Amino acid sequence: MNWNAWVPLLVVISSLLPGLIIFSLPEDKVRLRITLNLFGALIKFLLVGLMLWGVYNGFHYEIRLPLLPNLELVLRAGPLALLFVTLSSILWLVTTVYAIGYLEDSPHRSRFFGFFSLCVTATTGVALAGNLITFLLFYELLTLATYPLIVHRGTEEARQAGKTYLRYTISGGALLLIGTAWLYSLTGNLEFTPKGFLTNMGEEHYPALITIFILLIAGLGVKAALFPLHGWLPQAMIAPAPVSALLHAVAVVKAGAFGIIRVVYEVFGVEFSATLGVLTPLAWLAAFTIIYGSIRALYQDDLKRRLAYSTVSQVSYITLGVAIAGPIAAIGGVVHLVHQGVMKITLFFCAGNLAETLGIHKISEMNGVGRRMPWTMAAFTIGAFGMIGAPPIAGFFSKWYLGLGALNTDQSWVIFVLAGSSLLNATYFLPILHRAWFKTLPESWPEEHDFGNKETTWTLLLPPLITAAMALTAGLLVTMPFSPLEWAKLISAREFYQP
Amino acid sequence: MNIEFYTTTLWIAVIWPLLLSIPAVHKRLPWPRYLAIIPAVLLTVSPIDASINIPWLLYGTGFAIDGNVRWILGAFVVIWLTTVSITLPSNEKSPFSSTLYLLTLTGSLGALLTTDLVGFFSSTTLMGYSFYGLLNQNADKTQQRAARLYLYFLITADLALFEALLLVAFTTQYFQFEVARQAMSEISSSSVYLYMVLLGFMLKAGIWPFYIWLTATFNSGTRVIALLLIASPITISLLGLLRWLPLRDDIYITGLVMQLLGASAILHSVLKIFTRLIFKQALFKHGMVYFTTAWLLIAFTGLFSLVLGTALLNPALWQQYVYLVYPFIAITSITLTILILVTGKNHRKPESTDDVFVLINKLFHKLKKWHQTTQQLASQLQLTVKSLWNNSGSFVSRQYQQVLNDKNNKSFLTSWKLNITLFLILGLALTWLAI
Repeated sequence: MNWNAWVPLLVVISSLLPGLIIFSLPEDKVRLRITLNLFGALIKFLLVGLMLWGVYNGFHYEIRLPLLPNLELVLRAGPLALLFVTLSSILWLVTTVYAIGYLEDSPHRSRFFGFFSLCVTATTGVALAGNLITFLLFYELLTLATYPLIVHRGTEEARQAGKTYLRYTISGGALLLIGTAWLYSLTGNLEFTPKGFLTNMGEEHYPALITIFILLIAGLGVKAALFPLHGWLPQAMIAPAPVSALLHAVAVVKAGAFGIIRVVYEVFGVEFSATLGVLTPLAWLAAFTIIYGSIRALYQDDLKRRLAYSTVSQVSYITLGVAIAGPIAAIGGVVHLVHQGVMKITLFFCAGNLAETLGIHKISEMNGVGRRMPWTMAAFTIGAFGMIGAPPIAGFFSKWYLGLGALNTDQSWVIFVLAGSSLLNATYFLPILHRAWFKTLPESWPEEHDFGNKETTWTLLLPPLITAAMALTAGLLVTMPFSPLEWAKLISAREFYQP
Repeated sequence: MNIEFYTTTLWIAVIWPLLLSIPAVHKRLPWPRYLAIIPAVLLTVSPIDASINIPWLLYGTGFAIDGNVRWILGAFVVIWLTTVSITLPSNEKSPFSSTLYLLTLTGSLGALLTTDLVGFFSSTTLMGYSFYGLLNQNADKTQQRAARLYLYFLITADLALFEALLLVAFTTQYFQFEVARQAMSEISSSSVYLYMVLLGFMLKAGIWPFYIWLTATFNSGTRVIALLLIASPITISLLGLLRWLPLRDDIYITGLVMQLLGASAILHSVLKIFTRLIFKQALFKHGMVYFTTAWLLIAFTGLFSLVLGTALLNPALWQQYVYLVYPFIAITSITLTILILVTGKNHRKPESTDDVFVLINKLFHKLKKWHQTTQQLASQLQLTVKSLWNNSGSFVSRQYQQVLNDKNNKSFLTSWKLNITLFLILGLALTWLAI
């Protein structure tokens, strides 16, 4: 075993070990906890950087450990894995800084940060998984690690949200497990392979394979919040803002969407999936979820709930991109994994800032908040316009490639879905911006905290500004080497053009 | 001065106002709104044509200035300087207002100087939403309604232009104006592109019959807003039409329709003004100036529509005389500016709005009501599903209830923490053994 094989494992362990140590720390060891958190996040970031450089230069990173008879725990850094792991490592670093500021002086911080680290460990594992069984293990670990974060506040409402979350995700996990086991019994293989490993299956297996596909997508669709499996997501909004940010942009929802990409591209393969006839219904389901999520978002007065329904809608762009089954739409879907993450985390950071600084939770309370917290609302504005798909912010390019991909595969109906969704996005985001920037300031805020002449603490302000800048930069420098779009092109080329 | 200087000035002209739009920057500088336009003034007065390619920006954008663009830029600079000089001091001191002004300027200059469709679309988006912000600045209810109307049109126009852009991307990988227009005029599906471009820019420029937002904005806004309206959304959108529109020999019906629309616009404007003249007998008294100028503006865009129709009917003739359109736009803009300047007062005119505008507002309120009804239905449905879920006595559900009904959240989470730690340590140990 060469040293390169260790790197994927180290990436996983870099957050696992700090997490386990943090669990045992007493509450008053603030500095040590912060150091461990930041140290873990930085190490992971550097290791991922090393892998990016290595893969670009032709190195191969893979580790195989025996797990069960004939089944191995495989961690591998391919282009798709690297895209997701880079996203999660960067956003984890930013979220850690934010969480440190957000949870200052609140109780149970060791517990929180311990599970926080485990959550990222699981996400990294999901990203680097080289086969379906490894994916499943980390996918379930993610469920276990995020539940305590959702119920962190300990209120009845939080407990209810936690229950709902578990109901959905464990049911989803069970479906995924059944699908995986059935697939293994049928093929004896679970290895993620470019273009899939089922192409040689005879037609007599098609009904079984279609059922397996449905089971796997349903299992993954719970976390990806596909309609009608999305019910847990708006309720999970009770969690603290850094958790919401993590759920929506880095970990849970993304793990589901990423899983769908893996299953379609590297288990079934796009061509074989199309032969089975499962992609068109998936595209319709994704399209329906896009519109449904946007319509539900319109009615929410609670800011985080509106953002949650927006996630239901936006994450389905990824599924839609995959289900359109063309090289260009695939670029749009895959790149939206990154773009949506960066934009949505910005919005959640800002929502957290509003709640933490002024006690604002509802949109109806946001009158004139742009004048009180201009930097926060500037970041929010960039995130919101990105979600609408306004150029030159990153979201525009996701929609661009999805639309172009639809034209390329003669599925023009997708254009109407994209246009309708953009219109709805504008309808539920622009009133927030209008209220924040142009309405008269109220006499007092619901629960204002004093930060002197600053709008809030730098640990709360810096993360949304960084992620907003990232969303803008990802759009402006869209064709630069190493941009998310270029990575997505690489992934799509491997799936569609390489023999 | 050498060509490198003007090449650098080209992109500085766009970046500089963007930088100044940051409140922390412009608050520390005197007269930021004047400072922001200096590079553009330099470009206007220089006789040298210059261009710069920026391959790493967007899909490889660029900026350029030639004789044609200089006409529009010159008119823009004049209107901008006029606008800034008549802006109220209180508005000048407002950092937020300055930011919106400067973002509108950035977007407008970006659109004027850019050489490709994506750059133009990005710039006009920035310009459009910043202008919407300006319309909302200290706005009363009438102004807010006008701003809202402008926003509806803006969003619809952007969607149409986005579709047009997709069609260009589907046809060619190059987005430079000339290349894209050429490519789009050679393919059979260019009709859709043509309609999308026409719809998008007609909405944005308020060309008849899409003028409702224009009269509403004009009638409810201040003199400054009226001037900015001419300088930014309208002039830039007309320029957009010139740059985006493909010309083919077989689209004469569209050309005829455009001519018809143009003629209708002019006729409608003339009728409106004369009706007012007959009943009120005063065109340029207090407030009336906005009415008259708005309809003159509609007549002007109608005339443009007429000219454009001719271009679609006879592309060869158009190519011969297209250079005349740029001074036509510039001179008309400045004429309208002078008209507003010498006759208008810097106050808001509570001018009565068009019937269609009232109708759209009613429609908006009906939609709002429909939203509420749907919301109620959705929550009822949600409640039904929830009760079904909660009442389901399935085995799995009961198991969950047993696991989760621990009332002591803290102790429950502590054991959860311990279990997970042990589970992971076991995992680590197994991994270690496996290695």
